[in-house]
Amino acid sequence: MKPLVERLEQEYEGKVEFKLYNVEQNPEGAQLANELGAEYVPTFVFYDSTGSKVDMKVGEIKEKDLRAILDSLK
Amino acid sequence: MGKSSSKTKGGAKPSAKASAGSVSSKTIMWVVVAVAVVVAGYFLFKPADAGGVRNIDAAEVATAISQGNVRIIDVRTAGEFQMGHLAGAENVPIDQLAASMGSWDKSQTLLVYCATGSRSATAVQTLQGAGFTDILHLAAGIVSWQGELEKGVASAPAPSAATSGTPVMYEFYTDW
Repeated sequence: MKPLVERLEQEYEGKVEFKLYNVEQNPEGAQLANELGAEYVPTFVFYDSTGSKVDMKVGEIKEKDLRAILDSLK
Repeated sequence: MGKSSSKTKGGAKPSAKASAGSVSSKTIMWVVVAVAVVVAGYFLFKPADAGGVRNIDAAEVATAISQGNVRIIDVRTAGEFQMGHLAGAENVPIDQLAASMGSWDKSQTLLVYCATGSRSATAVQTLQGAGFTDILHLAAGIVSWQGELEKGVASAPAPSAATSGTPVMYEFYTDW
């Protein structure tokens, strides 16, 4: 999913902040995954601008579904 | 009173001319050349203590840091850095050094290291060329460090759920 995510990151620059963590290489990322309740990879966790958790998806997502969630974030 | 007469040697004083058994001017010349080569070799090959760069070993690192105003620069990759680095070090991978160093305070002492000393040697030359005058180089690299290491990402604010006012998407992934 990496090329898709990278593409979307550029598209949504300024609208949605992308925080991507390789939990194998990044101990802090692994810790954060724990805190946010992500048990498997890949896991996507979505927050709106007030800091409230809006959605969490485990496993690969289709592009259109991912876009739908990103577009719904305010 | 009897004068004691001293015998005078007969014949002229031997002149100082080259002859078998004494040091020839050719030998002297070679000795001078040899000494010159040794001296030149010393200056060419001695550890680079030139102009503001000082090679130090692991034992001196603690001393240097305690003297304050030292900026510790780790020029390895982010992955290597996260596995363990000197406490307080900043990670500036060698390929980003030239871009980052432009904003640094040149009056500060820099302590530069990498894994074994080869990348940091290049980094030190880059910094010197840029006008930094007080550079300490851990020439043997962090492999020579016996003390404790700090792990993880340096001085990044502890990541937490969205606080920036824009929506955030986190992705936790691996490279498999």
